[in-house]
Amino acid sequence: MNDKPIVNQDISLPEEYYELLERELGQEKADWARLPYDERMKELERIHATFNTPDDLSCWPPELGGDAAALTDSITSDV
Amino acid sequence: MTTPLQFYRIFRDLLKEQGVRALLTSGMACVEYGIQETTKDTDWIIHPDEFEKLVALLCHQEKGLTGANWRISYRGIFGAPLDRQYHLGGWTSHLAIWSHALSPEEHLDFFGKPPRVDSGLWLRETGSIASRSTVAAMKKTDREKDWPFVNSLAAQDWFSGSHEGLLHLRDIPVLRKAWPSLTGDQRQDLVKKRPLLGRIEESNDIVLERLLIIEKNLWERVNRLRYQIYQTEWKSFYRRWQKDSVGRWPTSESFDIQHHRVLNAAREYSLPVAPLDAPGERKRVYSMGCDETRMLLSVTDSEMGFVQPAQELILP
Repeated sequence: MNDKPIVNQDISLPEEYYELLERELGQEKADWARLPYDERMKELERIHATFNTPDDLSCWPPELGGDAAALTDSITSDV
Repeated sequence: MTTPLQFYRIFRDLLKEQGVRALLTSGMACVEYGIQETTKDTDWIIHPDEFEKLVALLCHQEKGLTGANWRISYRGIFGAPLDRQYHLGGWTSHLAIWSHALSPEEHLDFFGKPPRVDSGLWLRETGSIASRSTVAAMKKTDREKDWPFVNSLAAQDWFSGSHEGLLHLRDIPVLRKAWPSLTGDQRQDLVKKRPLLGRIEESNDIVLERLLIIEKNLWERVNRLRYQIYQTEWKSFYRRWQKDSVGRWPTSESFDIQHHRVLNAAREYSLPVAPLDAPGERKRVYSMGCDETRMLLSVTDSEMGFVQPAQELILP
């Protein structure tokens, strides 16, 4: 299985782009973006294993969110 | 143990093998583009004609002998059933999957009609990942945390040679540098979709920054009003269902049974198929969003005219 999607062959981007990433997302994520694809994924696996990253659905909006806690708060509190 | 990245790839390959036309979007798409999002969830845009195939795939994956013995469930707030009509009406579906006994709960969201994206554009996309422009448009939510990704995706698009990135780019120095390099036709085309770009040359940095703030607020307000309609409808539906027969939800039944239960409940307890399709509803939401931005930020009529994208772009 080729894990690397076709659209994401490591493209060459100018320093200006990484400076923008640093402004927007911080130094660590800008540094991560500079890594080759395979190393980026390896580092992300480490982050996933180390941190309990937030559930994207932990709050409304419905097209993006809503977990059991949100269900309880949102649905039963005003019934 | 399957990691979130491994699971996403397994699911991507399954969709491909079964011929389900689908595109990866949102956080995991950002990851593939080299923009770090730490979410473990995967969001998929599914071609509206492929929902039956997707449901069949999920049911097969649950089978013990011929399938992979996954456990699959709609989530508590599940949105709408995995059904063509509901998805064409702008609903989304939220699922949880356990790929084996010790695996973590994987969260998957499905969009048949992604918000803020012209279907004429994304339906033409090929490959397995939504374009940067499509992902950026979907990230224009009212959640503050999404906007750095809008700008980062747009910047990557621009620096990779696509002027479409300018539809979403919010960085003033890069905008100023990029704009003069475009042809007249390119500029004209972009200004039609994003009027703010027509003010780059006439505006100093402070004025441009204010216009960017107004523009962002407008996307946020309209989006919030839009999803509140879905939220209100869903809550009413769920209360009707709960009062009558839902009991404990989600159940531990197989996905096939759950799916039919959800489909029947949606029909029996009147989950509206397309809440935004009522006559004049989009126009009402759009106008209200514009009014809220005007009031919140004391926006003048001329400023609003400089930033206001067409209704069809915010609420396609």
